[in-house]
Amino acid sequence: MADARPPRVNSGIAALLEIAGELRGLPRQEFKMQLKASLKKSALSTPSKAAVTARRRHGIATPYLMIRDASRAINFYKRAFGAAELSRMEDPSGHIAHAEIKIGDAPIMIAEEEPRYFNLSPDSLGGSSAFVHLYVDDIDAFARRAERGGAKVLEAPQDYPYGDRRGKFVDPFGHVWMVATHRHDVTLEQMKADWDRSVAAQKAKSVPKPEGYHSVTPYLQVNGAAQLIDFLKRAFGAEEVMRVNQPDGTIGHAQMRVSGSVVELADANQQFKPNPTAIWLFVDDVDATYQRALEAGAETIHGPVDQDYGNREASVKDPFGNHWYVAKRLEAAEPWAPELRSVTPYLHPKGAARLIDFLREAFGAEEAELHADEHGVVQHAQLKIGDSIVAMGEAHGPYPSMPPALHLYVADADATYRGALRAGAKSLYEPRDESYGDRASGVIDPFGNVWYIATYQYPEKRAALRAQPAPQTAPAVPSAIMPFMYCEDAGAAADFYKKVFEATELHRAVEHGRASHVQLAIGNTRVMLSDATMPHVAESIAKGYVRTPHQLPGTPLHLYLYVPDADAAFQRAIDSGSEMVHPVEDEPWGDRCGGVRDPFGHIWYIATPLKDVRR
Amino acid sequence: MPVGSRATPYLIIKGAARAVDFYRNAFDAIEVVRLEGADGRIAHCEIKIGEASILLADEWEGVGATSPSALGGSPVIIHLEVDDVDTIAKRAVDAGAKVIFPVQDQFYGERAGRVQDPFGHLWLLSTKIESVPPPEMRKRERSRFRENSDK
Repeated sequence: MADARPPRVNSGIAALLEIAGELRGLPRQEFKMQLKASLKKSALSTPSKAAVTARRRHGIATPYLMIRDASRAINFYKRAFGAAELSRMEDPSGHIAHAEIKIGDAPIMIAEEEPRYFNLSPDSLGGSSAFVHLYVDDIDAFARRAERGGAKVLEAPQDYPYGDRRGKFVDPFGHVWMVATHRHDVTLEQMKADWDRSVAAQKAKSVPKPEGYHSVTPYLQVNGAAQLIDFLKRAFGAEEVMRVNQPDGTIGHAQMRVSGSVVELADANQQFKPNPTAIWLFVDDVDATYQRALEAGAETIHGPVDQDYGNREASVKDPFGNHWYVAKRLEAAEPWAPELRSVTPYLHPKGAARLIDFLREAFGAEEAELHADEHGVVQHAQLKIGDSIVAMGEAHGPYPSMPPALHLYVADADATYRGALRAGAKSLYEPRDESYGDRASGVIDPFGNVWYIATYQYPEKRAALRAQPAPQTAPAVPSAIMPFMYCEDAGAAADFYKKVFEATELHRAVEHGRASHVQLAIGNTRVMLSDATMPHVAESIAKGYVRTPHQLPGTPLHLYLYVPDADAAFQRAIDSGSEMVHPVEDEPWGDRCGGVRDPFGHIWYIATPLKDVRR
Repeated sequence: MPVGSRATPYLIIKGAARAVDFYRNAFDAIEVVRLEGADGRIAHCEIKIGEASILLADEWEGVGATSPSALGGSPVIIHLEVDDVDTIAKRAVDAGAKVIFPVQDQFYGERAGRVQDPFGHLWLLSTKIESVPPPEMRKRERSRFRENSDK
């Protein structure tokens, strides 16, 4: 390849000339001689290469700026950026074909724009997508001079966590400059760790949530939800956002806006027991709010006082046992993290330090405040979870352990659910798509706190879920009779019927980590499966109201089920562990029908009208 | 993080992660650090090609970070000195770059050629082949412009 090139001037001499140039500035004669000898040796000793190349360097990148009116630009760079001109080549028309300037130690190349050579300036392109990043000794002085000289400040100099103070400018010719002064060293690991933390925080904040919600929302389960709603209105000026009434007159779900945050509540039932909860409620006027709360029926825990930690606070207990710590941060006090919401759950766990570990592991919680006494007992802590804070203090005296239910919005309910189980929580129910659009799951942590872990699905997805026609097998109106079937394992039975009879699960209630009730649609009939091993069933069993088929020598109630293909369903039932009661045969009453006893002891006649049987 | 006192190109790229792969294949780039935003886009990345640092980031709306694909070109050419321009240029083209000017000996003492990478950034790849003293340079320059104007 080298041979193909035209002969050129003795490049060995060129190399020495360059060396001479570099030596000119050196101080000591002796050192100069020594260096000269060694440079000479290296320049001339590499046999073949010395003939072609003077000094090769690998990987030197220099920005080469295309500019409309390059000559004026060079003047600008001299004036505004303190540049020095190193060389300039002009074409016969006086345009700059190539020039080099230096800003500090940094060489920059410049040429007049020339569309024939595909050299386009920011003026022609409408901007730049390659910025020049430059280190200078004093970015603030640089910024002042640049601005005076006519550069536009895009970002004023500011300190960045990776140790630079940096500003961003656009020059009058459209080139963008990121100019920095390095203040202190930050290791790459540190830089990445800082960054990852800020991204994680950003992700948590950007987790989609229903309007008005934060990451953490207390869910109050009480006997008398309607009265609690009235109390919240009267005591705290709360606003009712929604209320879902149940056919039996109880409230299935309600949302209240309290002091700018959301509180959810519902009537307690078998599955969702009353859960007296402590809430730190930040208000504008502690004294007035305290007074109203008492008038609305709360009893006092203590009246308004200025606390040494910088709050004015009063505490009351509402008629349902919930604690409300009504507070306002005093102006003189240092502000707390912005994640401390106007409604902040306040936990009184036994073993707060261990709960903190759990929250870290399960939900990536971060400490915002932590005050412990000399024995390590947590007096007060604030744990950041997403865009919210969960506060806590070790249970004591008038503040007993009162684990709440907290509704937690996360980016990925499935992942957080699994993380919570790994951290030691127990499942209440697995993640599932709820008809109102969320994907939601439930766990109970080792301290008794219940977490409803949910992902708010985007409005489109919610709409799509709602618009989905009810599963084809599910009836629009339930049939008049719904068999209520007891067995030892309602969850397993549900799974069996889904597989064998293509049932659709309509609802599953979970207690103690097991399905207590599962409602299924099979064809246009609903059946309710009830788990007879649940503690609350014991009484009914004792009274003789309830038996599972396995507890009886037989079952007095058989189920006669129409399916589209009796043979196939019968076969699936047998394959899945059922016992044959009667083979599939054409029956004189016009059905093709077979009988099985399923693994739970229930007896099914599986039938298809003969006129519908495809042969 | 200091990247030396040189001026360092900071490239805005649509598909910066793919671009890093390209620079790795074409220029033997080494990734020094990569910071990704919540959506996986690269917010900041430093690569090294030999001794040269190159900074880059994905397009980012609202901060004037527009890629060459959006602008229709780039007004900055990265002059990259390499030890073997022919090999590097060939590898760049094999990896998907487009030749703007083929590699050839240039009057100013470099063997150089220009390519456009698949993301629209322009690279003037160059190996220094001789040191041209200023008087010689001026002579060649004059004859070059004369040749050009004769055409």
